[in-house]
Amino acid sequence: MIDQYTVLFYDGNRSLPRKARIELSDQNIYLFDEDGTNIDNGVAYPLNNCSYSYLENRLFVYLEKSAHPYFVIDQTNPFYEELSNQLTNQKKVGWYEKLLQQKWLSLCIILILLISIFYFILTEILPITTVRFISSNQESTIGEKIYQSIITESKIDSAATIQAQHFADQLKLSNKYKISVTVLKEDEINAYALPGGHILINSGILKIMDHPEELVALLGHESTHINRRHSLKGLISNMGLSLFQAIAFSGMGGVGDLILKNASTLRQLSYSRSLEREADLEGMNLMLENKVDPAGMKMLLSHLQKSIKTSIPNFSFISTHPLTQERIDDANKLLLKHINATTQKQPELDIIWGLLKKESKEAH
Amino acid sequence: MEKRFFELRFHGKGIEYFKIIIVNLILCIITLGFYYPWAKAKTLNYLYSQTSFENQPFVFTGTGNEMFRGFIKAFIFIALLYAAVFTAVFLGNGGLVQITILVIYLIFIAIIPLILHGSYRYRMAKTQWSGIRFGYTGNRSELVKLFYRDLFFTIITFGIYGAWFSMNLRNYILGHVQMGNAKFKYKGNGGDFFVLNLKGYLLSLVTLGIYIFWWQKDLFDYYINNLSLSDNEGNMYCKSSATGGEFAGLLIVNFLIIIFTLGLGYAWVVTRTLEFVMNHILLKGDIDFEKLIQTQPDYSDATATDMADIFDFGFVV
Repeated sequence: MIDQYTVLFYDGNRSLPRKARIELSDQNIYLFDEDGTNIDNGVAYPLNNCSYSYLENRLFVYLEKSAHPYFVIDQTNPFYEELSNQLTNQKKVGWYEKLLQQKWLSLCIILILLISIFYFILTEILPITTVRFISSNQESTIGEKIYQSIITESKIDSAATIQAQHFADQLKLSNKYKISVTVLKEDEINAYALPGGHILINSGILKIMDHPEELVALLGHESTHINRRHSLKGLISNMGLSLFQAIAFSGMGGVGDLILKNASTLRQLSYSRSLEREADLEGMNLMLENKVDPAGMKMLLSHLQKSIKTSIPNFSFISTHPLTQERIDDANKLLLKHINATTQKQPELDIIWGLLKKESKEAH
Repeated sequence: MEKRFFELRFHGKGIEYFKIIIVNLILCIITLGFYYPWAKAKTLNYLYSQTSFENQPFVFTGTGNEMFRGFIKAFIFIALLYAAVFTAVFLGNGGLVQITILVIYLIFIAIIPLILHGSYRYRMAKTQWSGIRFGYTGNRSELVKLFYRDLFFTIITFGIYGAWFSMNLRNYILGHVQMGNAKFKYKGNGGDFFVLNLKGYLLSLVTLGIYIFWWQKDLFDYYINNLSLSDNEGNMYCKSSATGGEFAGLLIVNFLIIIFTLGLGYAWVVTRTLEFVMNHILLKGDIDFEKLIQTQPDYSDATATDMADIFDFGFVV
């Protein structure tokens, strides 16, 4: 019987183990030397203070928080099973232990659900609720800061900017915001809106346009982003996401980071697609309000499509902009609806357009 | 005692570690990150308990509570730095922002040696084998002096002295790590380390990156082969047995795992790598590991460790 209880004991003073006998009574562990004398003057080590781990068919029982003294018991020892069970029963089971007992697949599902919930809150609810607390003035201040940081890094085409601003001033684009247009000397075919009223147009996109209505379409599109506070919402959800990423995933290895990045790309695909569509449609309404032919939107989109085709092949599925063809189809639908809308040629716009085209040609 | 080989092994399983990571992630998300210190303790507990030397596992005795205290201190410190930047931005003065950022960079660089010192003290005091604590016995002001002196040389030599810097730091820190009464020693040489990296860099360029694996192997060799442990009666020497080809296999498969699992395979990357490392370190000598004596004190302030985590710089070893 005595052999059953023999374990290898490490006393925490020396690395040399010695054989010891253990006894379990009233949820306490007592240790004896082989000659029967009490170890540590017969101190009782309560089971629920012990921690333990398994390695290669051996159970390591650490008797105190400091992890020494400890003893090792082999699986071949008949007492192994009982001790192991007792320790398991005594163990305080917290959230961590409860979760760890689940299957890995369930854990993955819980994780994905949680991330989705937080994701939804941060990208959908947070932006919509916070923008209410931000006044148009504050929004303009934020936009102005971003604008300042952008223009220190890019070249402004000042002559074209004056004409483009003049052009925009002829139109009614926003009730709330003062629309201010800047033309940047950039070949990339792009234009974007900042919160609060700044529209930045790359000279590249001006080059592919042939009609003043296309510029009206572009301004209408970007103004919608501003009026509907799309960029402000985007900004807030980005900040929320990066904060979330920083606090919840810091130092957790690559996992959380990667999941979030993938989710972020996917979200940008659908999110920005729906926003772009909204901006197209609302932009065309703005054109109608200004009595400008909304067909300009279609022309602009067709030019975009052509220029995309002539440059690098575009893997539209992964592109963050919606398929241009889809957008053209949508524009067509709206055009049919407003087939009888009254539009008129606006000589003012034509003149400024002419000057603007001239400026941008000279600049290149 | 006669010279013999000692056994170092990693027994961890990818799936076990994966579950630990996922559970930790879940709890970190629910608690908005406040679970982090406990998550870290659980992770280290697992990885230590699955690493054995001479058939006895290592034990990490640090706790989430300790690290949480450090976490809060580190967090407040960093929040103050951020607050300074935001105040500067809101005051709207570009010059002020730049000065604030510059000052913060200087503070950051200034505290690196303090963070190194503190995190080694904590981590080593919380590492145990056969009931014997490890310990870091380095002197803070010595480390600070070494750090600034070498940093200065590194800057004025446009980074070339970095190789010597790196080796001096390693020699000092590892040279002050003890396992009970046994002392570690690292004898790296800046010149050798510089040549090793220069060779690695140039050959990687010439071979379009293929040599990177052999460069890694050379680095691993250099880190392992110069490490030894001694007590009053004997020594133990470390030797790497890894080959460049094996490194290529390890790193390429790791890369593929990360790519094809969209990062979820991270746990397997860690366990495979640890297994590889432990399996490729040969330990030989005549130390009697049953004669180690408890000599190192406990130390429970985890502020520096948490700071190192928040700033995200890896442990030097």
